[in-house]
Amino acid sequence: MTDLDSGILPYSYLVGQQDLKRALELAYIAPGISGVLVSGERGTAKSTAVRAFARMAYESLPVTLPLNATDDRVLGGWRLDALMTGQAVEEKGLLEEASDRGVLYVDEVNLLDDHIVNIILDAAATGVLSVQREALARERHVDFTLIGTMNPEEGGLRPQLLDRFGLHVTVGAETDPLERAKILDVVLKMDVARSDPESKFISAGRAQDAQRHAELAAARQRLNDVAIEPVLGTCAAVAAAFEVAGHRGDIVTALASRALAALEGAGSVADRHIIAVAPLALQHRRPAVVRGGPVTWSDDDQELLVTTVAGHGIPATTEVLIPSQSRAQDPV
Amino acid sequence: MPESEPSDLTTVLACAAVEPDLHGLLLFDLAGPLLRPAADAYAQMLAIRYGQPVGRVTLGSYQTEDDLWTSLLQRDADGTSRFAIGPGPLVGGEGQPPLLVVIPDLARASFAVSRAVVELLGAPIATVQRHGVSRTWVPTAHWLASCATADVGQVSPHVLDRFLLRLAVSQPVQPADAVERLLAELAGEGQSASAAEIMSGLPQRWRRALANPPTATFTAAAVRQTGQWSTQQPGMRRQVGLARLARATARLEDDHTVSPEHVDSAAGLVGLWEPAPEPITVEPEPVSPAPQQQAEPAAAPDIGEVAADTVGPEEGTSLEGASPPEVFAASPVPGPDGSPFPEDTASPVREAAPLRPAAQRRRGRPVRSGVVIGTQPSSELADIAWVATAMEAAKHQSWRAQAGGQSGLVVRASDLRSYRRAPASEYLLGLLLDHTCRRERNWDWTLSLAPFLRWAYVHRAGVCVIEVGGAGAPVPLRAERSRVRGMLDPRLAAAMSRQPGTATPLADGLTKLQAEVRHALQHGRGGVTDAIVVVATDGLGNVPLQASVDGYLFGRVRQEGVDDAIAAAAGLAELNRCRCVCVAPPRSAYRHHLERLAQALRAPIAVADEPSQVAHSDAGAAL
Repeated sequence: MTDLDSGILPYSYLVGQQDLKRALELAYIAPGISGVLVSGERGTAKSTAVRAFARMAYESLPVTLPLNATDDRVLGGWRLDALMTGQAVEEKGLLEEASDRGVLYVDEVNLLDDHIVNIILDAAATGVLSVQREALARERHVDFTLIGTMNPEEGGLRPQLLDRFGLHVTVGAETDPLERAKILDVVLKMDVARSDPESKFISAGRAQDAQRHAELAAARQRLNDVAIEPVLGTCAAVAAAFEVAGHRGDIVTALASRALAALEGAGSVADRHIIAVAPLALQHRRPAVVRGGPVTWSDDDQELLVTTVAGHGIPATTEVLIPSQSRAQDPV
Repeated sequence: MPESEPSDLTTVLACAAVEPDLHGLLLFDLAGPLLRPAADAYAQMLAIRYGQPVGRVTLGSYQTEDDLWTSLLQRDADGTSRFAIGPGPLVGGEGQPPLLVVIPDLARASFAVSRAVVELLGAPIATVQRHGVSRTWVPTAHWLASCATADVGQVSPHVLDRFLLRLAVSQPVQPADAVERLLAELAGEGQSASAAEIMSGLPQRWRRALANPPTATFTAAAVRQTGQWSTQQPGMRRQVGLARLARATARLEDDHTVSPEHVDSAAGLVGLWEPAPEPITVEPEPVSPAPQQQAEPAAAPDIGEVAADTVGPEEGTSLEGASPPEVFAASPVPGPDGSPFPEDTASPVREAAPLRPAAQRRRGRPVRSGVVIGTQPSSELADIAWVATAMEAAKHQSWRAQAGGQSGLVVRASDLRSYRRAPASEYLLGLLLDHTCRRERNWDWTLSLAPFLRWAYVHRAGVCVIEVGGAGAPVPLRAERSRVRGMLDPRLAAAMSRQPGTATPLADGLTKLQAEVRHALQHGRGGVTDAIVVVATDGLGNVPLQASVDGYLFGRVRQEGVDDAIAAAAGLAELNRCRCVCVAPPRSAYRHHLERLAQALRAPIAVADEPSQVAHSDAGAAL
C-alpha cells in the first residue's frame, strides 16, 4: 500500500449513496456513457466515493485535474525544468494521462477556469487532443471517462459541459441517525488505519473491493451480449417525453440500461432497467436545466417516466437469461 | 503545585496538535495582537508532536495562485538560490517538514487562498498541476485561521465547512467607565499575551501526550453520543469534527477509550452547550427531636426553582441519621443552537459564487482597471504584467539563446501575460430615497425597487444612495450621501429600512445625486458606461437648496424648494448614458408636483397601486 493509497477509503466501506455507486459502476461497465457528474451539498462524501471507486475499478488513483491547473499541464508540452537547462523533453499532459488510464477526475468542477473548461470540452467533444504551442505540433486521439464532483451552492455548470457528463447524480446528506453513526464509525476506523501500513481494516476492505471489481469486469465483458434492440424505441420515447435536447440522452439511457442489465446478469434490457437509469441520464438535459435552472427530479417526473415506459415497454416474460452468463457462476 | 486549569484556547490548540485529523482550527473574534502568540504556541505544540520545528506560511489578501502553488526560485541545501521552477509553499510531499498555515483574517483572504483551503484542508489527496510543476501528495499541513463573527457572512460556507474545530475566543471584560477603559488601553491590559503564557498553561501530562500520543478507541455509546450534538447539521463533517475533538481530549488525558463524557466535554469546549448554574448544596436544617411519625423525605428540587435556604426537611422530621448534604450535579444546558457555526444564521454578504473565477465578458471597450487578482496569457500589448511576462520568457531562455544565438532576454508573443483584474463595474445605480413619502402610507418600497436592485446585482453595478428626510440625519435639512460597494453592502439595507424624518430636502438630494452620477460617468478610472437613476419620492419636497447648504431655514418658504428640485432634476436628465425613472408611492397627493418632477427628469413614473404591490411592467419598461 503506497502512502497515497493509505488515505483512500475502500469502496466496500462506503455507507449508503446507492445512486452514486450505481452511476459510477454503470459508467465503468459501459465506457460509452462518458462519465458521471456528482452534485451534492458539502460533507456528503462525493470526492471520497469517486476516489474509492477509482481505486477499486482502475486499481490506481484517478488522474485528477485540480483547480490550480494551468493549460500547459492540461495539454502537455515541454518539460519546463528541462527547458530551463536547455533540453527539450516532451511531457504528456493530464488529458493524455487520463486517456492512458481511462478516467479524468475533476473535483469542484464548477469552480474551474473557463479556459480550462474549454480545453476539456474540445477534447471530449472531438476525441482529439491537438497541441500547437511552443514549436510543438501534434495530435492524439484521447478517450477517457470524465468524472466530476461539485457543490451546486457555488454555482452551476455551463450547459455544454453539463451535457458532456453521461450521468448526473444528486447526493444528499444522510439524515438517519443510525446510518450517520455507521458512517462515523467507518471514518474513525479509517483515521486509525491510515497510519498503519499493515492495517487489517484496509486490507479486508481491499479484498472485498477486488471481488466487486471482478464482478464489474465480468459485467463489462458481457455488455455486448445483452440484447438492447427491443427497447431502443422506449429509450427514445422516454427522452422525447422529457423534451431532452439532442440525442445524447437517448444514447446514454440505452447504454446505461444495458450496463445495468449486464450487471444483474440479465440477457436483455427490461423496463425496470430503463426506469432505474433514466433519471440519471436525463435530468440534467431537460430544457429548464439548459436554461440555467436547477437539476431536479420530482414524483411527477417519476410518474411520467413509468407511464411512458409502460406505454412502450416489452412484456417482462420476454426477458431472456443467458445461462452461461448467470451471476452465480464464476464469470472469469 | 497543582497545575491550573488550561484555558479554552490552550485546550483547542493542544487538541488540534495531538489529533492529526483535526487540521483546521478557526478562532472567532480573536483580537489582532493575539493571533501571533496563538500561532506561535500552536507551532511549539506541533514541534513537540512531530519532534522537529514546523514551517509556517501566512496567507492574506494578496496571494495569487502562482504565489501559492509554484516558485521560480529554488534554494539548495547549501543556501544558494537558483532560477528553477518548483513547488510553492503549499505543496507538500515526502521530505517536506510539517507546515502550519496561518490565515489572519479569513474574511479578507484572497480568491486564491480561499480556493486553496477548499482544495487542501481535509482532503486525503492533493495535486498541483501548474506551470510544469506536477506533484501529488497527502496533505498534512495544519491550518489556523481567524475571523470576526460579524464578517462570517462574507466567507463562503464551502470554505468555512473545512474548518472542523472552532472556538469563539472570550473577549476581556471592558471597564464601563470611559476613563478606566482608556487607562486600561494605555496600560496594554487585555492585549498582552505571549506564546510563553499560552504554553505555560499547558499541563505536563498534555506535553507528554503530545510527544507520544496514545491511541484511543471509541465506544459505541460515544459514537452515538456525537449524534446527539449533530442532529440538524448538513453533511457529516461537523459530527466527524466533534468525534475527533473528543478523541483528542481523551488522548491528552491518556485515556485509551473515548466515552460519551469525552464527547460532551468536547461539545462544551466548542460552545455547543453551556454549563448549567452552580450546583445547589442543600444543608438539612437543624430541628428539635420530632414525634415518631416521620414525613416522607422532600423530593429533590429542580435546578433553578428553589433557593438553597428555603429547602429543608419539613417541620417535625427527625434528622438523626439523616444523609449528608446533597449536592445537585449541574446538567448541561443546551447553548445557543449552532453557536460554533455562525454561518448557519449569518446573512450572506458575498457574491453568489465566491469561489468561481469572475466572468471576463465586458460590453464595449475593455476597462483596464480593478484589483489585480492574477495573470493570464494575453495576445495584445495592453495592461501587460511585466514581471509575469519576463518570468515566462526566462523559462525558455536557455534553448532560445542556443537556437537563435541571441543574447539578452528573448520575449515572444506566447510569453505575453496580462493582469487578470477583479471586474470593475461599468454600471451604476443611483438611488434617491425620500423617506418622508412613506410616512402614514405604510408603503414597502422594497417591492417597487426590486427590479432595479436585481439589475444592479446581475450587472455588478456600483450603487450610490442619497437619503432624503431620514430619521436621525445629522442635519435634517440636508440629504445624506452613501457610496456603497454594491448590492451586498449592509449600508444599503440599512438605508432602505430607515424611518421617516421630518424635513424633505429633495432639491439637495437631487443635486448630490447629479454630482455623483456625473463624477462616475466622466471622471476617474471607474469606467462607468451606463447608469440608472431611480428617484423614489412623491415630489413634495420644499426645502430650498440654500437652506440645505446653510443647514437652517429662516423665514417662510413658498415655491423655492420645488423650483430648486425641478432645476436639479433637469441637470440629471442632461447627463449622457443615464436613464432616470421615478418610483412613486400609492395614492400620491398633489400629483402634479410629481409629474413636473418626472417631466424635468424625462423619466417615466412607476406607481405602486397598493402599499404592497409593485408595478413591474412600468418599472421594467425603464430598464
